[in-house]
Amino acid sequence: MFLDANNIPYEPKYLDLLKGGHKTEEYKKISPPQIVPAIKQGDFKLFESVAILQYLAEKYSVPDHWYPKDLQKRARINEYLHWHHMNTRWKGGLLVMLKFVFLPHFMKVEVSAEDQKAAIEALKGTLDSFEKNFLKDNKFIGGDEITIADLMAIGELIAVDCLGIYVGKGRPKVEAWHNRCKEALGSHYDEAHKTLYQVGATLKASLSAPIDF
Amino acid sequence: MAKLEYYFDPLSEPCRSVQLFLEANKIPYEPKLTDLLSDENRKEEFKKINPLQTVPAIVDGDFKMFESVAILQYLAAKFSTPDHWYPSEITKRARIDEYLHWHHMNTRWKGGLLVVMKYLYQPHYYKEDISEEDKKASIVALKATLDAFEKYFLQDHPFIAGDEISIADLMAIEELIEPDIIGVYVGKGRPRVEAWHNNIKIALGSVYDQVHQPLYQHMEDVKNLVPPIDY
Repeated sequence: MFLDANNIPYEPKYLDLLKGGHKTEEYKKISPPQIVPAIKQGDFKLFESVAILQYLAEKYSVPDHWYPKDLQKRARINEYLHWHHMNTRWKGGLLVMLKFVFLPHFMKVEVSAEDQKAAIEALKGTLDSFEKNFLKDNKFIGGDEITIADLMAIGELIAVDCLGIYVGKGRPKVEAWHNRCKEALGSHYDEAHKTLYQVGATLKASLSAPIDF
Repeated sequence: MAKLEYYFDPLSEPCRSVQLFLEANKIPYEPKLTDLLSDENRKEEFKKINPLQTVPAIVDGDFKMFESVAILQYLAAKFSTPDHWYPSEITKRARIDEYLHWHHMNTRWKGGLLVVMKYLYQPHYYKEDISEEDKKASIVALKATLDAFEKYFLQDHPFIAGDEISIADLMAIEELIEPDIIGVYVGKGRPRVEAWHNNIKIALGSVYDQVHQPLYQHMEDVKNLVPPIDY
């Protein structure tokens, strides 16, 4: 979304994780831990999504609002970006996707109903904290304009849409924020989520019952 | 200019990382001890400093913030510390950011703290039943993290980013020496990790021991609680 929204030219190198696209020797040379995303520019290679966003923001001198140079504004965004990993990601979107999709359907590992329920509770706890401590009454996480913090958060929180879980349900602030992000990103939002929408239809059909959220 | 207020618990790894930076750069601050074991972070007073109730946190005039790495990034810029801590050159900085983001779900979550939790804090402080299997699994996780740390980040450099110490090293070292508390030394059988640890001690000089004093005392206090671990 960041690359597209800023018209940064890039050669897309599509990797299908489910088919082990990241396990090739070729990819190891790009990203030794074999994780995505990764970028390569000449001799320079980099992994870790947030580090990539920080690098691109600087390298392409994108509009300041994405990752402001002002010390305090930047600190607010960094504050979110580091909290993100163990919260929005690990007790949020990724956890739910793991327990409802990746483990049972793709890795064929049984997950108890209890475990699944716990994942939903964790997501709710994270959303409470996200609203209270980061979003607050702002239009976006960092204030009045969209930043790389919003892009990271959207990525995790909207992934679960594909399971029929909408994080804006009963949370007008989150819903409003989501809509603002969509507006700010325009067609780039839908483009980035194309595959997710396609996969979502199949995933929702495979659930034995709609998820109670 | 009002002095920076630094809210911390010296037994918290990310708190030590930030304290090492403050001391090494002689940044004047007012230490605000916030003892986690006695729930000082749950008091209303601290909630006003950090609604998330985590340490470390700083108050710089009107500005309050939390998250250790974000604090380090802020301090490096605010106090114009020597460039090597968090270089302005974008590829060097990217290397450090790459580590700093990987850190959370790896070095922190599957590293030193996990082991100390399973062998010491959960059974002895929280009175939870931890199976031998669980304990052994934490050691396996730590070893895998160390393998990845050496292979993808440290490699053959003296420090994570290359030839000089940076905020990446400060974050990593505190998580990785945490298991010292229970007699597990991550440098054992890993000469590169041991050398890196020594490089950090040399770079920080007397600041290293000074900041670790409470940890050393804690190690004394708990030394008989955990039998020797096969590591």
